[in-house]
Amino acid sequence: MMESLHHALHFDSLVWHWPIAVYLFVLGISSGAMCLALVIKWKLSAQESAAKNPLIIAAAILVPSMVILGLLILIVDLTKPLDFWKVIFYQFANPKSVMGRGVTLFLLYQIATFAWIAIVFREELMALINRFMPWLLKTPGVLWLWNTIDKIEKPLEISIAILAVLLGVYTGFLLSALTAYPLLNQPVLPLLFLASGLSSGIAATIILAAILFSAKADTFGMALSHRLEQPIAWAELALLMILIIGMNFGGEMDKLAIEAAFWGGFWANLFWIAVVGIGLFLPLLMNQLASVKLKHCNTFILSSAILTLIGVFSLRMFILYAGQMTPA
Amino acid sequence: MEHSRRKFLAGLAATTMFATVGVAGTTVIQTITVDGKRYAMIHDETLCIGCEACVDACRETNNVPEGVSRLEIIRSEPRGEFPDADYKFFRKSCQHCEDAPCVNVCPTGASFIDTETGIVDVDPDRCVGCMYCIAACPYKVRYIDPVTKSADKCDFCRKTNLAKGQLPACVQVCPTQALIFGDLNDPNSDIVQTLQQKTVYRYKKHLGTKPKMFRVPDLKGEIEL
Ligand code: SF4
Ligand code: SF4
Ligand code: SF4
Repeated sequence: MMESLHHALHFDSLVWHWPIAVYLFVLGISSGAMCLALVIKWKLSAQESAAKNPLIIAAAILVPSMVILGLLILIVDLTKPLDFWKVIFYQFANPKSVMGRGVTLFLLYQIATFAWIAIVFREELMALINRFMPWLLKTPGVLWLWNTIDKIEKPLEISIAILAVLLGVYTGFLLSALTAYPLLNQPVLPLLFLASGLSSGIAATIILAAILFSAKADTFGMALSHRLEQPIAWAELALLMILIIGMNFGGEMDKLAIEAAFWGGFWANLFWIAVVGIGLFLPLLMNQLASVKLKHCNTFILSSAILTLIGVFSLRMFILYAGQMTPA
Repeated sequence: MEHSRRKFLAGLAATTMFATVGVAGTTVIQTITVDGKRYAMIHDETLCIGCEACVDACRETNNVPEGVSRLEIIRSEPRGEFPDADYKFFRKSCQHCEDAPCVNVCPTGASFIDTETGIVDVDPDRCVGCMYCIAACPYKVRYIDPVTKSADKCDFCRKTNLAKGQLPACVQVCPTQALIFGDLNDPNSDIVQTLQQKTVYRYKKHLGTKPKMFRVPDLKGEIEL
């Protein structure tokens, strides 16, 4: 067992290790949480304050912190972490680089999402600033800037929605740009990662909202989250099937890659048990079988979300490792 | 600048001289033009004897640290029965792709194609060590230099021998002249002449990388692409 695990985690053609899977995972959470927060906010009635909604609060915490965490992981994983500024400084040196465009995207996304948080939580932030650093509001330009972004709320939100979707597909493009590995070099990968990023973003938001901000089943947005979860899970299943079937129609290396990844071996087991079984089927099944009363119980909500997160992280690990097993 | 192969050979050991003239059918004089455009290499697998003199010469000339290598000679399973068994040899090194995946993915522009020579190279100062290029290279010839912590690989001796107007170290040292180096844009170069005379293949050409490493197949077996 240990032997096969060792082989599964160390092989010759493996270049990118598990930190990259964590990186892709947290970016997906950020992208998904952002999309969910926007959808909930857009559905809120005018009287309700977005800043009071536990799900939106949870998402507002997850969105920037997950991107920062992802960037930290990326930096620590460099062979020269102290040179990380070169990635920002020289980001346009190669316009074609997916990673370079990712860096551009992070910067825009981070700025835009901070601006959004400043709008949504304006009152709360004002109160905090007044208490701890009142000089900030007196600094010329700060209030003016704040008022200006207030005025562009709608266009800002639409841009953020686009950026969040781009962030979701970016996690897939980062891998699908690698011609060197047939399983990674697949056009459905960005869509698959977008979908699973949405799932994980929703799940993580629910967990955080339930634990820290006492969200309940009847909290506004909770029912909406659940309504979104199922079609996304089905879409993920469909995309996975398209990947497997499509690659079976492909060339010799495609077929070999599929065989090595999905049939037999550590990663195949992880895929069928953790990704498909635990992450997709179990939550779908639980939702079909559970009574309305059970569905309103917090334990039920939490366990379903945790299963989804396990599944999505396993998918990231699976694609990253199994993908690198078979070089072109 | 024109340099004749003879000049390079002058300093080499007598045994090498002997081997060089001893091989029938190969061009003895190779010329290189340093200001040329598209440098390429041929590995003649019918001539390679797997001595790995190239590997050592490269390490010495380019100061390649232990534990990594810019080139490897991969020996096949034995063909035939002892004592008549022989091997095929495959050179694993940078192919200097004209559409280079390593260059395409690099986020900082540290991986680049030198426009004067067509050589694919790395700027170690610019490289941050994200390893994207190492993952992207379909030939798996890149590594992180344990000393500089930057991505590195064969640069056709661009910064060493070539800069001095000499042939790459591995080409110079090969006792059977299995390696031919030159400019594809020069119709009179040995490499172009040889390409016109011999059947060659390029590894993983179907990936669209346009590799500039040509191989003369050892035809006793199937060519693996
Ligand atoms: S062989 Fe690899 S390292 Fe060399 S140019 Fe091609 S992709 Fe780049
Ligand atoms: S490891 Fe260096 S050369 Fe390779 S892609 Fe990253 S920055 Fe570019
Ligand atoms: S051309 Fe130079 S760098 Fe490349 S393998 Fe030969 S000796 Fe090494």
